[in-house]
Amino acid sequence: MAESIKDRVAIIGMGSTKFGENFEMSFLDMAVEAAYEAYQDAGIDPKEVQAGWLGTFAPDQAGGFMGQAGSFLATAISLKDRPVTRVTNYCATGMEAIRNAAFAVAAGVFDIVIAVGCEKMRDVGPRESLIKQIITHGHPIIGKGQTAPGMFAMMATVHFKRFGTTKEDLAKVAVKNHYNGVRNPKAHFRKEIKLEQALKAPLISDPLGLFDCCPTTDGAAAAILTTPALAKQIKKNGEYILVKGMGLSVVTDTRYFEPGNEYTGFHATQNAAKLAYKDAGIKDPVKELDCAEVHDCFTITEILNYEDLGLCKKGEGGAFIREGRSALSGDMPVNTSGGLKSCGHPIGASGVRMTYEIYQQLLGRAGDRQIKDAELGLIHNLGGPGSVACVAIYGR
Amino acid sequence: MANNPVGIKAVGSYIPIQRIDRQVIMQAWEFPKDLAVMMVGERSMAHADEDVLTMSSEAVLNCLEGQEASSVDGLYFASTSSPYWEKATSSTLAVVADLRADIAVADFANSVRSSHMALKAAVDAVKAGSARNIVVAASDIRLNEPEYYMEAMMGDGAGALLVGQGGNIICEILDYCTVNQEFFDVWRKKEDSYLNYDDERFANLYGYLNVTKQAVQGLLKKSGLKPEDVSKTVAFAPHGAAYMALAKGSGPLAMSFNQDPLLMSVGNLGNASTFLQLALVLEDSSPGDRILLVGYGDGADVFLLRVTDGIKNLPKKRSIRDWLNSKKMFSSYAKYLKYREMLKLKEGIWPKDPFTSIAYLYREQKQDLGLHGKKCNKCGTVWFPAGRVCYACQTKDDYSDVKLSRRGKIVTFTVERAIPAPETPVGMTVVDLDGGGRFLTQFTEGNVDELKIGLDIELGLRKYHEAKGFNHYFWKSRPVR
Repeated sequence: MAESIKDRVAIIGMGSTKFGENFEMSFLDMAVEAAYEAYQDAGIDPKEVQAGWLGTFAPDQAGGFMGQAGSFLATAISLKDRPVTRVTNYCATGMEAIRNAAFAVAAGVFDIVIAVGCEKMRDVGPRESLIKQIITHGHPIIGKGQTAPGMFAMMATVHFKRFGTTKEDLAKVAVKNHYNGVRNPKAHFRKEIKLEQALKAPLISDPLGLFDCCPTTDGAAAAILTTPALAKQIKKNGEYILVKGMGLSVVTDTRYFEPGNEYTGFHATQNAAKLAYKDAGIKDPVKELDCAEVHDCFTITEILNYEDLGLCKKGEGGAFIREGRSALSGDMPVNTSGGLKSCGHPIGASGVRMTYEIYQQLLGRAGDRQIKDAELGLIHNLGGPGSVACVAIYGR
Repeated sequence: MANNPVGIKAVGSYIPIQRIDRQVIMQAWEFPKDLAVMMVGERSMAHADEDVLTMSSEAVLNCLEGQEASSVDGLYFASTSSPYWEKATSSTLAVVADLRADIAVADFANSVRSSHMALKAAVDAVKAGSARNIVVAASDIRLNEPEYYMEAMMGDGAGALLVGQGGNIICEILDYCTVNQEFFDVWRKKEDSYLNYDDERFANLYGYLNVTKQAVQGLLKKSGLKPEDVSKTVAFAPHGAAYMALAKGSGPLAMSFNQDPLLMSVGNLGNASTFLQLALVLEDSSPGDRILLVGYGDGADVFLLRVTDGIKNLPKKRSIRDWLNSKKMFSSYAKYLKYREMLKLKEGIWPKDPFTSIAYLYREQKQDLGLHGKKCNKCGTVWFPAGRVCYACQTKDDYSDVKLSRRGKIVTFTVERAIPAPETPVGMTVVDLDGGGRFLTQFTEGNVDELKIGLDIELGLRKYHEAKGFNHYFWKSRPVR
């Protein structure tokens, strides 16, 4: 009989590179940096790791097939002759690395495993990543002209009309996340911005402008997972976190052709959240969660996420940011790390980096952006756009 | 009317929305004042994403509205400006129009009179009983050397005639006369981008004015028709001056040159010229009217038409007047050169080398070119594109084929300002099509500022890009014209 994942998996160590235009680090250099920080944090020798999961979304951009298969972690981070699997699921890729690693531990097949999310996006020009990809790859003729910002912009068009959300609301999300990013040493952007700047920025895909979009970034993050029993032994100081719930949901890949799609939110997020909340036994997320890292690839997405994750009612996402509820000082801090807006979105790494943020919050290591008495945190990724979402809940 | 007369059952037309005032071209080149007399009026201009195939698809679909596609036994396409030297356009049009596979398709190329050659062939086929109905489509985008005055004289457009037999024709094709002429008037070799001319005065005298006269005289003699019995003469003409000269020099027939040759509002439409002039003439015709349809190019020919009672029962559909009256003035000559790819741009105007596969496209042909979706037999949801399992109710392999409507309303949209395209910004629209089907596609032709939720749009076939050396066509949305 299938059981909830709650309290069956622990994370005993994590690491992360700085997220940014890491021109001087190769794909493998970043994997090494993240993995070895995790080994050190966990207090284990790399040799003790029995299996690995690598999350990379787009080996084409990294070049040299980097990240195409698990073998890339083998020599790089001393996982030679171990089972290493490369996973991918759009923007849920990073979380998939953790999720599958967690299943292996919960199944009792491995004791200590590593999950690494790693993505190199800036060895090619910024537009050559996602925008060009959709044109050069993808269906020969259907949907040409779609871009990542465009797909979310269409949601904004509807949200503005239906719920009265404004460009100013979007700008407030950007301002908040930049503020938080200043307080995160590993963020790509560490500079506050003013509301005016965001509002006056050139348009990319109406109504989204430059400051409504996350940057193109390189980065890697890693997590060491084990059973709670082993975690107690290895980390006698109790500095580890537990997986409380995980949910993943895939919906149709042709969302934009889906009759009846109202463009007011993402079923994938709603479903993934339901699954994770059920696992974790959460009934009132906004009351029970202390912090959340949500997928803010674009400012409108963060607003939609508030609603789809059940932090507020559908349509009230604009009010949520306006009232400061998701600010560091609010009652439901969202993206204390600075979010994708400040950290960027190296696709395969984001889910793991988000976990890193919650890990730090729960262990009191978040410095200037520490949330008092953080005990339960959520991470969320959304990809496709809209065809896959994942949610994970972590606690002590 | 003779028993089972052969004639035209339906007419289709298409004129691009863009028009250029000839003064714009005059000023772009600072033409000398002696050309001013020719630089009046407007010419129509195909958009960057239009070509003779896309324009013809509009005309053919317009022509076949209200007609049984399954009863069409042939499609002939005429042009001097086909997209390919080897690869028929008629076969593509047949798929777009949902015609059967077991029909006769043919491309008639290489002459600006090819449309008439195709029409003659269609009439003969129907008369001989080897086809019940044949669609004849004609379109041209003929390029001239920039700075040559003829560039301003041309016009882009497409026309289509449904040739058939029986009681529901709107005009009979009674007679025909043709004169071959081995002659250099205007020509273009395979490697030439632009039309070539030599001695225009000679060509006008010994070519155009000469053989058209012979063909007309030949027809009048052959048919016994008297000039005063001709209601209208519809004639191809390279430009207004030549048309006037033809009319003046036609003696008693001069009175019948009393219709709009479209030269001032649209231009020299090449192969589509007489078909579109005829479309306009038929709107104001009466049963019994006799019309001469005069073609020129490598000789000349004339069809004698007689309007029937069927003209009173024309189906309600978009007419040539509707296309003519819906227009947008285009004022950038530089952009015109860019759209016609006459300027060599470093990056080109299309994205380089997108993924494509002939197998992939072949498999999806009916869906992508024919605009066919699937309707789930269990829950009734209409899907495009569609797989074998209904996304709504998960029923596998139980659906009906449906042709999607080309009309719909915008559900949501955005404006892309950072992607490669001939014209930026590019609107992207999600549309609910009438009768079912949700469609995501680029917006063309309209101003992106017009975009709003609920806007009425229609889909039209457009050229997207080239990949692996062949053109990729798909549907785009535009404001309803």
